[in-house]
Amino acid sequence: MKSLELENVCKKFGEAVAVTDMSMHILTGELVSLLGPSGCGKTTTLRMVAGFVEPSSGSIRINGRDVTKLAPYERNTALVFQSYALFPHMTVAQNVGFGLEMRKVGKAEREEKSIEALKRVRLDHLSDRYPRQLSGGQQQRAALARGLVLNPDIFLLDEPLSNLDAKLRGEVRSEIRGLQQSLELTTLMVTHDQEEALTMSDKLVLMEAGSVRQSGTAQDLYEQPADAFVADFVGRSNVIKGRIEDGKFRTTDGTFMPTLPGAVADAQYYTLRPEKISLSREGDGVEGTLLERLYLGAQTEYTVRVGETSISVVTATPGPDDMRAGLRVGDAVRLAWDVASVRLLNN
Amino acid sequence: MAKLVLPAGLLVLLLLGGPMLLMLRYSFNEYDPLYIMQQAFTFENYAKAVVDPYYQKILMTTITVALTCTVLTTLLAYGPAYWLARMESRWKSKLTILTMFPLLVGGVVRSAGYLALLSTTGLINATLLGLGIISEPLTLLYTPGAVIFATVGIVLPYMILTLASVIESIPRQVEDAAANLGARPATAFFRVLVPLSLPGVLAGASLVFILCMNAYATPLLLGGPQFQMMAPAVYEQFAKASNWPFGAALAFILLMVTVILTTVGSSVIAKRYKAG
Ligand SMILES: Nc1ncnc2c1ncn2[C@@H]1O[C@H](COP(=O)(O)OP(=O)(O)O)[C@@H](O)[C@H]1O
Ligand SMILES: [Mg+2]
Repeated sequence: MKSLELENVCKKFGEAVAVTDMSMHILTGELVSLLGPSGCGKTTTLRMVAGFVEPSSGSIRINGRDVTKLAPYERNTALVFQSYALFPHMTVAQNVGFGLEMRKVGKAEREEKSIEALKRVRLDHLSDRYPRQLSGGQQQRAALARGLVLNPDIFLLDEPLSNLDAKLRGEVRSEIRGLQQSLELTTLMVTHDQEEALTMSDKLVLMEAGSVRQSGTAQDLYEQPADAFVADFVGRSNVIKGRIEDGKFRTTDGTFMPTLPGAVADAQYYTLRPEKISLSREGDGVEGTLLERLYLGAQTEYTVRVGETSISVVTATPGPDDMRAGLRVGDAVRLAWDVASVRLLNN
Repeated sequence: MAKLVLPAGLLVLLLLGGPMLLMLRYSFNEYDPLYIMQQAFTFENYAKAVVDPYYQKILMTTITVALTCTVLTTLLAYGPAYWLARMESRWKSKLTILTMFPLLVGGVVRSAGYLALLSTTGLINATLLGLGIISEPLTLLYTPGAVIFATVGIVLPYMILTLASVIESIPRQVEDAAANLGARPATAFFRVLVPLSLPGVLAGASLVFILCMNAYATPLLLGGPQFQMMAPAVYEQFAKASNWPFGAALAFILLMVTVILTTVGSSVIAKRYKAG
């Protein structure tokens, strides 16, 4: 059984707090994503697990053993760097064999295992190349092979897709997830891209400014966001500030929004997913003015001004016969949504 | 573009190549006590320098001192260069400038500084005597050790700056990757940092070796009358013995030996450490 536990881990750089009171638990074969905006402490957390940064307080356990004070080379973690960090003076095979060599594995076994790992990432035919002779995607696969050949206790991925072009990203995403699942790699992945996190992870840990805002499955975070930050960061939300008056939510500019009876009295944010809203030219619903229309191919994103508030709406791109197809900026529109899909949050 | 480069290129060629060609020509001339030299084409000057045990010894001393200084300088410079290259604080640029500072003062002046440091009444002896650690002043000056000590001190900044700029170009993540894969610091150093910084080591070592082979002021001021190196010997032939052809031959032997040792040394080291 493999596991990673962080218990109340804090890290300060001088006065600046990078990570505070971080706790989490990863079990065998799980992929957990650390998600959050740039600078929120994800890489620092990852580097603490790998042993490059010593926590200011708290403890880290790998497979139940306290590793908080151990040097990186005394832990069996495999970190795939954002920049891949392949050794430029070694061939792909030598790169992959390096960790085995450090573990005093004999030459024959080393070569056999390296080729096996390279086959897993479909790179065995390039084993004699130098990193500079590989494309970005191939370099990344070499870096993956270099880690997984060691059968690490914890696999650590730092922004694995950020250096790839958009087309490759989807491919690599499923490739990494496939490898992780078939080898049951216990994995901690860092990303600032919510789509990456939602599609690849068993669990997510959403961070902001050094602390955990919410953790759970993608569904938990999407459907039951703990606060407005989570609601907006995971899957985007319209977050409208206001308060409850006479059992109804009233925005700061005075518009009353459809509210289910029995709303919590201290609610401050009215959150609503763009894709839960329907937009029409006329009919029932809240009145607004079309501010912007973004054609995204299969989907179209509209920004509608209601009172002083801008509301995003995402719908399937209307067909040519649809009344909405000819909408222009400045046109009056109606917005409607199921009140049940609204989440009122108090922070 | 070519039009702009050509005149400058010709000027540089003239400035660099002119004196060299002239010297080369002189080295084949015959010495004449009256007119300094006579037009000739003879290998006599070279033969004399190569066969004479006196000059053989001078050349050997020069090579030994230069090699020792190069090795010592490389070993001494690596640590500070690494530290400087990896430094993140705002002191980095200031420290880099500080490292360059000694280069603003010429080698002669700095050799004189070492004179004041090492003489029997110098700073080191005065301190040791004052502290009662020794009762008689130590003979530090006019020893090969003094020359090596001062030469290393003088060439150290070149080495530190050359190494630091190369180490800076090696991503830190590559070192981290080695540690993550299980390499202890010493292993990571020899398997990753050394091969990757090799171009810097070779560039720095070549530069330092050339400077040491041609050291003039330091052996003259700190080596004492018994201690002889090539550059002062060349000067002696030109200025004191007025034997230009022989001086030119000595200069060319120094040049050739330096060039051969630098290229052979670099390629041997490069071959040895390049492979992963
Ligand atoms: N070595 C360091 N020294 C000082 N501050 C640092 C260091 N590393 C990270 N930080 C700071 O800690 C915070 C978190 O950084 P990081 O973990 O890299 O964020 P993320 O990976 O989420 O973008 C940032 O404000 C960053 O400036
Ligand atoms: Mg980061």
